[in-house]
This record gives sequence, C-alpha cells and structure tokens, in this order.
Amino acid sequence: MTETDKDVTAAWRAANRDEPPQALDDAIRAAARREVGAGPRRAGGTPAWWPLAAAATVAVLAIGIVQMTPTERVSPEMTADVRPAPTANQAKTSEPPAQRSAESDRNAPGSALAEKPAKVQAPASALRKETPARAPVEEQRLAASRGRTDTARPASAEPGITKPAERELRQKAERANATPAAAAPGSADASSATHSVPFPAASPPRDKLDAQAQAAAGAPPGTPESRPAPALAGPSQPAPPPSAPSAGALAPNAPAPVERRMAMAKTAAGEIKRETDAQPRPVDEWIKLMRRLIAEGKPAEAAKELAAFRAAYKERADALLPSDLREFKPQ
Amino acid sequence: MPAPAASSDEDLMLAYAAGDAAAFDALYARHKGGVYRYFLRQCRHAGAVDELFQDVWMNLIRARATYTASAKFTTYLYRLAHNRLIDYYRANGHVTLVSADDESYEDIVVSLPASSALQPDMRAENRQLGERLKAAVAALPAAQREAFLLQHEGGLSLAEIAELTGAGVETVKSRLRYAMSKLKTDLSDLHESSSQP
Repeated sequence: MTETDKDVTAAWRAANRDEPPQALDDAIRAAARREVGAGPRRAGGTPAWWPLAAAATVAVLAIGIVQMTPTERVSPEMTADVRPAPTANQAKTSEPPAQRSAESDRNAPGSALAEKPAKVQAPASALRKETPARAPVEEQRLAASRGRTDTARPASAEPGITKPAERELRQKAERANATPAAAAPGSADASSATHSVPFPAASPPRDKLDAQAQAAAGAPPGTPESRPAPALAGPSQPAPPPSAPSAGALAPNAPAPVERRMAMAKTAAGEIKRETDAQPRPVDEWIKLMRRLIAEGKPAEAAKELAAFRAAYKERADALLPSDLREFKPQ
Repeated sequence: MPAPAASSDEDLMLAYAAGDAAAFDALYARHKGGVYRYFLRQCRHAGAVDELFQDVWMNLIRARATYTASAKFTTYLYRLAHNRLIDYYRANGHVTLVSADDESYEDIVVSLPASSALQPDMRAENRQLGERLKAAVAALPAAQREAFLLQHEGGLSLAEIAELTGAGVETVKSRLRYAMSKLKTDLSDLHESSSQP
C-alpha cells in the first residue's frame, strides 16, 4: 500500500467539484481591487526612488556649495604683505591676563565701550586721506580733555573700572604729540568727577556743548527746539569751557557729540598710520629701491637696505629676493 | 493589463503585490476551489467554511506587501489556510490533530467514532461513489484527512505537507498510507455491494 492510489484520486477528483459561492468570490475580488487601488506598497515602506532622490539632492548641494565658494589665490603681493613683526592682535595676546579680562569685560553686552572702537576705526582710513593735517590738533584737544578726566577721577576709583585700552590709547596719543597736554583746571574736574565715564563717553557733556552753541547763537540754553545742530569738528571749534556747571546732568550712556567722535576717529587713524609706518616696506618696493641705489652708484646704502630687508623678512628674505640682489655684495 | 495564463503562482503574487489586480484574479481562479474544499472537508459547518475561506484570502491580500517568492506559493497559501483552521479548532475547542501512527495518540485514534455515513443502513442510501468517498474522507482522523486534502486539493508534496503541518516526512507518509487504506477499503466495499445482485 502506497500513500497514493489512482482509483481513489480519480474518484475524488470526479466527485469533489465544490466551489465557493459566487457572492464570496465577488467580495474577495472586490477587496483585492480595493487594496490595490490604494496604491502599490513595497516591503519596507520606502519608495524605490528615495535613495536616488537623496543622492541627487546631496550632489546638487555639494556642487552648489563648491560653486559658491570663492577661490582663494595666494598672490606674491599677499605673501609680501605678511608682517614678520607681531601684529596688534599678537600684542594683545601677550598682554597680562588681568588686562585681557578687563578688555573682555568691556566687550561684554551692555558695556558702553563695546562697539566704540569698531565705530571709530571704520571711517579712520577715509579721514586719514581727507584731512591728514588736522589730526594732530584734534589729538591735542583730545589729550587735553583726557587729562582733565584723569585728574578728575577720584583716587578711590577701582582699578578694574579704569579701562586699560583707554590708558593705552592715551599713552600712544601723548607719545605721538611732542607737547604734553596741559591739565585742565580743577573746576572742570568736579563736573567730570561726578561720573567716572570711560573713554568715549569722557568727552564734555552734551549740555556743555549745546550751551556753547546756544551762547554763540544768542538763544537761551535748555530749549531743545532752538538748539542748533552740532557743527562738525574742526580746528576752529573752541574747546569746551572747563567750568560748565551743568556737566553732571547728562546720562553716562548719552552719545558723544559729532566733533568728539571725529576727533576720536582721527586719533585712531593716527594710530593706524603709525602702525602702518612700522611695518616693513613691501618687497617689490624694497627691491626697486635697492636696484635704484645700485644704479645710482650707492652700493653702501643698497647694502644697508639689503641688510634691513634681510632683518625684516629673516629666513624668507632669500626666497623673496631676486638672484642679483641675493648675491649682491658692496665692493 | 491581464496576467498571462502561463505565469507561475509566484509571479502572479508578485505582480499583485506591485499593484496588478488582474494577477490576483488569475491566482484566485487557480486556487479558490482547492482552498474551499480543504475547509469544506474539515469543518462541517457551511457558514464557518465561508468565513474561513474569506479570512484566508483576506490575509493573503493584506500580506502581499511582505510576500517574497522564497517558497512555493501553494505552500504559502495552504499554510495560511492550515493556521486559520487550527485557530478555528482552538476557538471551537477540543479538536486535536493527531495521527494514527503516533503511539502517544493511539488510544484517541482507536476510540474515534465511525462516520454515520458508514453505518450499514446509510450505505444503501449513498450509492453514489462521490458521496461515499466524501463521507469516507470526512470519517478519517483529522491528521490523515488534512494530509489527504493537502495532497489532493493543494497538490503539495510529502515534504511540503510535512513542513506545513510541522510533522516529519515519514509521519506524513504514514498518515497518507493509513488514509488511502481506509478510503480504498470503503470504495472496494461499495464495489462489492454494488456488484452483488
């Protein structure tokens, strides 16, 4: 006996012809169509085009970023401009930690000085070109007013409140001016001493200037409508009288007059100019100078310049020099 | 697009999973009779047969997204049917699929009552071969009946039946041998009785 039998199988097939009811067929077929009508679904739930779309998006973004990025070329001029001497930032990093922390405090939000240097330095180059001769006069005036402020500052003032950058700037300005600024009379000190306002706000109070302007125009002080617009700073502008009585009325955060800002900008411009002067001469200019000296028959001076060049550019000097100057030796 | 008649069951199922409703129609036309008879011969309640049949096809429709042609489609379909039948038995209680060759269930198999269709007084009424055969199949122990139906309705091989039912191939072979022996005996009895004057 096997597990299959032809007679049984044939008899079973002949006898067994039962089919599901037509209604059941229709219901199942309709359900199948309904399910497909909702849209074909793939195993995993993610459409097949997703990886392709993701790859294309990444490629487009990458190409876009590459095309938008400006190409940086290192030209000989740029390499020549590199200063071998320590820059202002490097000098700042070499400051003592206490001074640095004071400076960072000043840059903290809410500080009156936080944005002042940037504002002053921005127009500095333009001012330097336009009115180079006026800068020393303004610096003298500025130094004078600073001197007053310093003398007015009480001795009990905290050292942390005294701004190091202000002191540094003042010292530079004083070094630049051969004549030391005269200290103001003590009567002005009382007005300034009421606020130990930092450098940009240490200018004479606005009321004081307004009073001058009003006095010049013949109008009574204290009427805002009749106040003339503050004139731009110039050499003819007189220094504010030190004995102005209403100096303490101005808030410490009040904006400085325009002429004061101009003066500060010019001071900063002078600082920048001095820093620029301290930089080594550009390479091509220096090379031209040395060649000119050789051509003019001044080998000693040319050798001096060459030595200065080597001192300025140190190990890069040979690479920057042309071959004739590199091997130049005065007879 | 109508599904080609020569397509395999697996291709039709994959086509349906991809959204081809005609593929399902072709697949359903091929297998609806076998599945329906599989249920019809194993549960005698007509309402339950329709319900089980519909459940199996609905399960297939829902599972189309996860279907992979890793096995024969018929095996997949009848596994759904087998599982649904087991659930039905469990829900209605007290039915255990045992085999006559299982020693542990020998007592149960021996104590199974014979079908009422096999009683002598009923034989005279059921002269038709088909009806007798159906009655003989219905009288088989459940495990033998299922193996017989899977072989004759689903066209599954011994290995496929063994895999589907979770039994060994030899066990399935034994079940089928027992089933055939009983059915053949019933058929020969019918032949003998019909040949007598």
